[in-house]
Amino acid sequence: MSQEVDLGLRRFLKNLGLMTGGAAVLATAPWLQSCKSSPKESGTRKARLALIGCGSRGQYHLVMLRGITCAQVVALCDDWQPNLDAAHAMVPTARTYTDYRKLLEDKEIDGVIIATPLGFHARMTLDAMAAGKHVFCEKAMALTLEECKEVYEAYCAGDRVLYYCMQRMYDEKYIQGIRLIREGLIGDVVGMRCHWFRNADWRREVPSPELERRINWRLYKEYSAGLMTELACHQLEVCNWAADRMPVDIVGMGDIVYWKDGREVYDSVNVTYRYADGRKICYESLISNKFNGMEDQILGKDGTMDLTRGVFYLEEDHLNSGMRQLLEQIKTKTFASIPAAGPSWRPELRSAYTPHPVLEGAVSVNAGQSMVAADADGSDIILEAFCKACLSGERARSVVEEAYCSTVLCLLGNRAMEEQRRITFPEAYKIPYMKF
Amino acid sequence: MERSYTYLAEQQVFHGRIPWVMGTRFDLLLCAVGERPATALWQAVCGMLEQMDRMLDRFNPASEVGQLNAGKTRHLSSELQEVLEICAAYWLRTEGLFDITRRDFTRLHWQVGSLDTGGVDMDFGGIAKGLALRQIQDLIGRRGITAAFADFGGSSLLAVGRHPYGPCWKVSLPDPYTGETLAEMELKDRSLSTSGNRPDYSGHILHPRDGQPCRDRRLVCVTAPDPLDAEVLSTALMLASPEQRERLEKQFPLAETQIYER
Repeated sequence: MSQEVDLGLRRFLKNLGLMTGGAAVLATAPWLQSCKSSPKESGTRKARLALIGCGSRGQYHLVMLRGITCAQVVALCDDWQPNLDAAHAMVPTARTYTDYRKLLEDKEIDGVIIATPLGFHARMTLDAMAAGKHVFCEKAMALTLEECKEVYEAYCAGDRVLYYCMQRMYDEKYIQGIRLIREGLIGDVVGMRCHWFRNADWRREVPSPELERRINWRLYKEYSAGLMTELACHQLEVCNWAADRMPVDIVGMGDIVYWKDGREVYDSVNVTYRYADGRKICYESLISNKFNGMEDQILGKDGTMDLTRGVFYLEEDHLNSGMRQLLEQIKTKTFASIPAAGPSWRPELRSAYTPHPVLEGAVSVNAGQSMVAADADGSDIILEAFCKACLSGERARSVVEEAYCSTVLCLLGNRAMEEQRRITFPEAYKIPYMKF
Repeated sequence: MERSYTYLAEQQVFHGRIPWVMGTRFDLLLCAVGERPATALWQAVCGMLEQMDRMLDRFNPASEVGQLNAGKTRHLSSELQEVLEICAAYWLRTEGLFDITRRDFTRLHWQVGSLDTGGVDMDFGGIAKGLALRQIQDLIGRRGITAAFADFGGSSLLAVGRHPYGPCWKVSLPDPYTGETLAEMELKDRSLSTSGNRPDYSGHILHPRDGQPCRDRRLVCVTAPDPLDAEVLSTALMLASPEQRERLEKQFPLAETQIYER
C-alpha cells in the first residue's frame, strides 16, 4: 500500500512529463513546480502532521496518509468524541486533543490538516499559521469574504506553506485538458457550463436533537455556505483556470425546492458569472435529481472540453470521417477501406459528437455522488505534495490565490442570490493575482 | 470561406480542408506532390468552389441563383448557362427524374445573357458537388498529379489513381439504419456518390412528378468515371421505378449502381 501511493505522485509527475521538463504543463499548472523539486535536506525525515477534524473527510485523509512514506500522523483533534475515537483507532500512536489551540502548542508538529466544517476554516488556518505550522485545509477557504481576505493577507505576510484541497488542480485529466485548451484545441473559449446534480438530502444521522446543527453543519449558515462552497467552489476554480481571468458580474437565483426540512441553505442554485468580454459561466446545482450528474464543460468555438470525463468533442469532427482515417493510414503506411459518411448532410446533434480522450489509457471519472471523496481525483496527489512541502518549506504557486478567487466567487454568488440583484465584483476583494 | 491545410513533408501528402462549403465539409488529399504545387492547386480549387457557391447557392439571396429564383434579375451569366445546359442534358437522359426545378424543367427558358424561370425555383443541390468534382478532376489531371482523393461530406467522392500504400482507394458503405457495412468498393480513377434517406434525415429528395418528398428507406450508391454521372444518377435512382432503373443503367453504361432497400 505504502509503495503504491508513494508512486502516485511520482507517476503523476512522470505522466505529465514533468520529470523531463514539461514546460507546457508547468505553464498550465505552475503550482506543480514545487512538486517537481525534491526536498534537499529531508533524507528519511518525515513530515509530522496533525489532523484537526476527524470526520469522514478527515478519516479519508488518514487512509491516504498511510500510503505517503514521507508523512507521519502524530496528533489528532476533534471535539466530537466518536470521531476522535474512530481516528485514534486508525492511528493509535497519535496524541489526541479536543481543543485545536492546545494541539497548536505542540512543538513536535510540522503541519496540520484541517478537515472541519467551513465555518472553522479561517480561524483555525490563521491560528495554525500564527503558531508556525504549515497548513493543508479543505476547501472552501472561509465562510465570509472578510475571512477570505484576512487569511490571504496573513498568508502573504508570513512564510508558512498553505494548501487548499482544490484537487482538480492536481488531477491529470484536468491539467492536460486545460493545456490542450491553451494550445487552441477547442478554439477560442466562448463559454463554460458547469453543473452538479445529486439526489440526496445531504443529511447525516443525528443521535440526539441538540446535535443537529453540529452534525448536519452543511445545512446551516453559521457553518456552511451551502452548495456554492461545498460543490461549486471546485468548478468555478476550473472555469477561471480555463479562462485565465475572473468574472466581473454575478447574477443568480437560489431556493429550497425540495428538502424543506428546516435547512437554511439552498438545495437549488443557478448562478451566471459574466466575464468582462461577455463570456459566461452557467452554473447549476440541484440535489433532488441526479440525472445530469456532474460536468465541467469548457465551450470553444471549435470544440468542447468535458474536463470531468477527460474527453473533448470537436464541432467539425474528422475522426469519423474517411479523410481522417486516410491520413492516419498514410502516416502509418497502411491500407484499408474508409467509410463513406453515408448519404446527404445531416444536422449535428449532441449524440452525433464523438468523445476523444485527453489522456491515454484508463481515466478515473468522478460521478460526483459521494459526500466524502472520489478515487484518484487528485486529493491524494495534492496531499502528498503538501507533505513534501512541510519538509521543504516551499510554497506552491497560485494554490492559495486560486482558492481565494473561487471561494470569493462562491460567496458573491450566494450574495447575488440572497439579495436578488446583480453583483459587480467588489474592489475591496480584488487581489493582484486576479485578471479581469 | 474558412479553409486550412497541412502538408506532411515526409509522406509528400497535402491535405486541404474547408469546414463548410456547398452545405457540407470538403477535404482534398493530394499524394506524391511537393508543397508548392499542392498549395497552388489548393488555391485554384478554393477559388473555383467559392465561385460556384456564389453562383449556385440558392439559400444565399445574393447568389446568382438566389437573385434569379427571387425574380430580382433575368441576367444569366455564361457560366450558369453552361451549367443549365448540362442540367438539361441530364434531365433528358434521366427521363426527367433529375430535375433542378423539382417540378417542371420545361418552364425554364434561356438564351445568351437571360433566363426566364417561369415561376419555378432552381435547386442545384443534386449536381453542384458533381460539377465541382469534375472541375477538380480536370485541375488535378492538368497539373500531372497522379494520386488524389476528394471528399464532400463523405457522400460525394473522387478517387484519382491509387492510395499511397494500396492498389486503389477502398471505401466501405455503412447502412444508415444499422451501421453495418453494406458493401466495400475499390475505386481507381472513379467517383462515388451516395444518395438516400436515413433515420434522422428523410424526405429531402422531391419527386418532380408530384413535388412530393421521397421517404423510401432506400440507399443508392453509384460509382462512375465521371463525377457528374455519379452525382446525377444517385439522385435519379432514388426516384426511379424498376423499369426506369433498367433503362437508366443502359443510358449510363460506365456507371455501377447499387440500390439497397432497408
